[in-house]
Amino acid sequence: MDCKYACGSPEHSMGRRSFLGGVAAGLAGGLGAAVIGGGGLVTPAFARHLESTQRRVLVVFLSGGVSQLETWDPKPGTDTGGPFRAIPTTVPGVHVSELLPCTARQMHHLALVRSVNTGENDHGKGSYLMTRGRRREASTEYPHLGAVCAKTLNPPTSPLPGYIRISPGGSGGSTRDSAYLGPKYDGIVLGGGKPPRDITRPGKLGADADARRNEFRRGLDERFLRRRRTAATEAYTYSYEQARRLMERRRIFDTAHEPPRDRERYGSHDFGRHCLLARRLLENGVTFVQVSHTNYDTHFENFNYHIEQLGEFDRPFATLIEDLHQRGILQSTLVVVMSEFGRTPRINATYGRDHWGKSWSVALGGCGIQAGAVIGKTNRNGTEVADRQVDHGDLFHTYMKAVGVDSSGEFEIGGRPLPIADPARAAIEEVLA
Amino acid sequence: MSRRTTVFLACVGLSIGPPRVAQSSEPPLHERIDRLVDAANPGTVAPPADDASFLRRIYLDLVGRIPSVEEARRFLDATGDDSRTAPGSAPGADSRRQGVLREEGFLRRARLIDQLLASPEHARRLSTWLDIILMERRGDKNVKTAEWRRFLRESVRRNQPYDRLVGEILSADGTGDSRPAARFVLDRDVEPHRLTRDVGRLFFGMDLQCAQCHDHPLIDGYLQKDYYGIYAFLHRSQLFTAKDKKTYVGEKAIGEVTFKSVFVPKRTRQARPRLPGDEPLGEPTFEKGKEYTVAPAKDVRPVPRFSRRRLLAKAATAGANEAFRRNVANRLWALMMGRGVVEPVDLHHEDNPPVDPLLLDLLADDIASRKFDMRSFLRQLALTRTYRRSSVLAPSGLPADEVRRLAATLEGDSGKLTRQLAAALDAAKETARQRAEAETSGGGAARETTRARERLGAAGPLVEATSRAEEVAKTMVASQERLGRALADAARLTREASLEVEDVASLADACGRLEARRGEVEGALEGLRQDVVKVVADAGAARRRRETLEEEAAAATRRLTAAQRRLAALTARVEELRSDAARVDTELTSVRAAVNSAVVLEERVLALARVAAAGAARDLSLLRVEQQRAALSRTESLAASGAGPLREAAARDLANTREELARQEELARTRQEQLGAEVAAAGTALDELVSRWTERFGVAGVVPLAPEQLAWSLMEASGMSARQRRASEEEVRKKQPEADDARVAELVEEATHAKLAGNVGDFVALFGGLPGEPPQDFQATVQQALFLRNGKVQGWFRAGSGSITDRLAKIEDVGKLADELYLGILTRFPDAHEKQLVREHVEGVDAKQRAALVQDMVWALVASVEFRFKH
Repeated sequence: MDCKYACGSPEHSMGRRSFLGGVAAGLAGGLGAAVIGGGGLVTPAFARHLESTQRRVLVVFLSGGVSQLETWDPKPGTDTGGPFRAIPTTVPGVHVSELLPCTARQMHHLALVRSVNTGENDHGKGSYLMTRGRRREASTEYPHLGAVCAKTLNPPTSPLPGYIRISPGGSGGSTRDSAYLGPKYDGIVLGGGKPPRDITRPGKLGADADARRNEFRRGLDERFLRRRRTAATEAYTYSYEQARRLMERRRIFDTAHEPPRDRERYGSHDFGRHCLLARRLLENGVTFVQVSHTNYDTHFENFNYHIEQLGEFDRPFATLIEDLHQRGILQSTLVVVMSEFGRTPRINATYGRDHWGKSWSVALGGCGIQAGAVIGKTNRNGTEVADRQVDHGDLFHTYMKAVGVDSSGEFEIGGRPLPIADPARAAIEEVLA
Repeated sequence: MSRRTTVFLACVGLSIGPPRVAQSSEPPLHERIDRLVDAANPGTVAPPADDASFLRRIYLDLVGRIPSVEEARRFLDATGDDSRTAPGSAPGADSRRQGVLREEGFLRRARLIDQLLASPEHARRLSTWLDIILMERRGDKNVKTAEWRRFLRESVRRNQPYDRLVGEILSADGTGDSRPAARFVLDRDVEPHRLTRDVGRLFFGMDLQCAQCHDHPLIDGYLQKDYYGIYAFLHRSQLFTAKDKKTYVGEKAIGEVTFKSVFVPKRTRQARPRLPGDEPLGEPTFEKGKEYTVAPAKDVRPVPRFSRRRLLAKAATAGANEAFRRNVANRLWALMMGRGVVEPVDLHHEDNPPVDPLLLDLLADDIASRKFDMRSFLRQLALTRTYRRSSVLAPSGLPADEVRRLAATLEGDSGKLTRQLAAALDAAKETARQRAEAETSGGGAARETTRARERLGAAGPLVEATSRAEEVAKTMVASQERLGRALADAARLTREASLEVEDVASLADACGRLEARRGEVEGALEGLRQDVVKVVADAGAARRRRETLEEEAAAATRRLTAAQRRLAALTARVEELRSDAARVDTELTSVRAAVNSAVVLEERVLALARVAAAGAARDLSLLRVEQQRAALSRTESLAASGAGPLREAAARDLANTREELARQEELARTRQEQLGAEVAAAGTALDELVSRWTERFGVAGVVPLAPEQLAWSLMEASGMSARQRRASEEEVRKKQPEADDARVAELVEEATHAKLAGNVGDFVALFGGLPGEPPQDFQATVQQALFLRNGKVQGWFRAGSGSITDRLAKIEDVGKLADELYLGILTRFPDAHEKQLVREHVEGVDAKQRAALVQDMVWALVASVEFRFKH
């Protein structure tokens, strides 16, 4: 089979050239400054932003269970390998599936963990443990990685939500997966990439009228609170202020404000648009963004589906990595490409692959990650982990540590100490920078 | 259940019986609560809330929404109250009924409480509260949520005792009528660990989760054996899925619980069914093979002859378990008061004691002795003074003039104190100057005695000056502190007075409180004063020592003088005797000379004695005289030779005294500083204690509305609910003309709820906790604010929708408009300032603009903190 990809487009190489030129200029000036895509030098505001210590996380969730053999851990020429070749990447000696030609060129920004064994073959449970770092337990619900990041990384006074999930469809709302951290750390769902619910003023209400009625409200509150101010009342009045500031910045949810050329580079399909939206959100200081791409549950025709799906994934993802790097925010943004599990090395009777949690891969990159590293390996035909076996718990520690959070720490919730990550697991130190 | 088991359970019931039987002669619970709380009152309680605040609060608590405008008017406009006193008479001049002191409006409030408790809306409200506590907003699973809610509502409606309700819930197996009650167990998948945690938390107020793998690491009293004691009741139960896919609870008759701590992995222990704090419970034994009513088999739900889950239901709910009593009493208290006596409500343990342990005992024993009748218990809580307190601690207002006068007086005090301070400093300076002078002035050896006397003389005033300085300093500290507090009070009063100048009635109150505060400060300083007295006493002792020295020196001087005087007398006597003893004349002369020279005196006297002894003609009297003179001379000699050392000693004493004085002063200063710090620390600790007490009992809490309360209150404020109730009533009366009022009320509530309940879902999703999570501390999210700013609620208040906005926009008179606006949304009338704001907002615009501006104000009121919180 042959795959056609349009990665060598003029825009693409132009962006790359100007980037290199920009770096040269920066170095000549004795500045270690990063460069905004398109060759423009760093604006003062943006430089301040870079200097800030804010760390961000981007999770790309390949829903349904992506095949490790068609992505990060190809086994060409074996009984399980399937029809695709392995291609070299920008990291010498590291090969990935030929279905990822654009990503292969960004490999020097990424790292691979090829020895994941979660032992979980159920969609719900697999998705749960990969995003929570723990198995579902009868008596305790654990918060989503996004909620944990919102709690630990998001500046408390930020007008922006700490956790945003861009879902392929749906009407938006709240992720409701912050468990004991509470609704404040729930994610906002951008259903189909649409802006958050209720972010625009209702129909007839003008900006002046809105300001006026809020003025009236503040006056009332001031009188009431003069003698009855509590943390809860402060939180309540502050939430209106936060809403106002978020409304003012609602353009950050709208990729229509991105240059047409960029929209073209990312592609007009959902995942491309969502990657561009993710870039826009991260650039504007949102702490955690999750983009989902669906659907990889390929019990039938695994190979055709993977051509199709990865064909959609590869270019926007690679573009996003490159842009984040060019804009200087990759170094403060952890990137994780995960799935609920991998797919069986054995190819079934309908040319499909089934659920497989025993030996699969996760890709990492950016903040705190040693670029180009490859951790662990599977055996010859990928049926078992051969070296450095890790699981969701180890990965969760790794994510937290990469963004500078002490993953052995605890949350204190209502008098109960709750470990941030599974105390029985530990970060994969070799993959950390 | 077999007969044997029944008998056994009856025995369990008998052996553990209820704890204490209330005596009929005891005053009602609300009075006993008030008495306990008053006795513990450290001095900071809010005044009673006004009628409007009480009204809003009691509606929110008992029926889960604010009152409608009509309901508010009905209560606030009611006059001729049986226990009402004439306006203007001081609060506290209450009518006495049956020997019980009751406050103004007591019966009117009691009537409202009874009316609300009897309403169908109360059954809805309390059952919703139970639902949220028991299911924590879980979604539909094995049992339909609607069925479960109906079951709870029916239970509340017929006022089923709480312990029986819990018994039903814990023993239900999902068959037949027990299906709705089984939701608690079935929708937790009959998972024994999940059930153990939730049973511990929800029914015994103990979150034992951290004690699952070992004794609780942080809470001494939470033991792993407590966890497994509950677990042993539950672990034999399991989810059973019948062929028709319906789920039930099956239970095995065998299986014991063993557990080991992860810290002591070698020791395995066994757990018998045991409630927290109690002994393990006994169980009947059956012959092997006869343990089951329905033995386990494929697709057969096992039913044991003896169910451990039923044992739990029975034992927990008999009223004998203290933790069970305390848990429900505390949760109902929290429902009404906003905070539990123990908080968090699921962490009862020794290191988290109730803020008032006697109160919790009273509540727990009372609810058991009234057989877990929640309705009458809630009624009693609603009647307490604690429930009725204002949410504002300070008096509700002082005329500005009065406050200014008060502040001026206090500032005058401040001036006086400053002047006193200056005088004291001057005195201290003068003393220091005198001391310096005394020390620098030297003198010859000859003047030393005189100097010593002078210095000793100076020491007296010095001591006095010092103690005076101490006194003044002490007064200063106390006064400054008092002044600080008084000024703070005054500043607060000034702020508040500017808020609500019209409330003149509370002036006397406020002044009284201010005075009381000063008295309190003085009382608190009594300890300080005593310590200072001790320091002063120490200084006094030093002074007395110095005085003793002075006296000794004076005595020595006196002795010297006396000796000299007597010597002179003797000399005269010797002259007299000269005629009798001519032979000793010369000797006498030399003796006289010797007398003048103290240095040779002794020798001369001895010589004289020798002469006298040798003299044959010396008569006895002379001998006696001579002997006497010799003695006196020795004294004088001693005195004379001692004068030098005495001077030195006096000088030494003086130096010592000075040192001692300095040390005492230093000590006094240090002690004073220490005392200052101690007083400050004690003050802080007291403040903390007082503020905790105050927060729970002294002032009404500011508590966020639950999502359901918020949604129903918004619907009430918009006028939607009242409109729907009217429509429902019309329909009900048409369809069922024969129904009596109580029945109509039920049907109207039912119909209205059915129509409007759909609006609540968004609120629960957005404002509610996460499904299955224990309630959190309040969190306000940006999504909630966006929803309230821009979301669908806007439509409820839109002009042209028959909402409150339309009603208000038609009112010409701006004062009336303001009244209706505030009463409809905030359940109170606006004050003059607020009326003025409304006036400024809408005056001089045309009708269309007016509607839009009214809508702005309506939104501002519903979006305000005052609306969002109970207070």
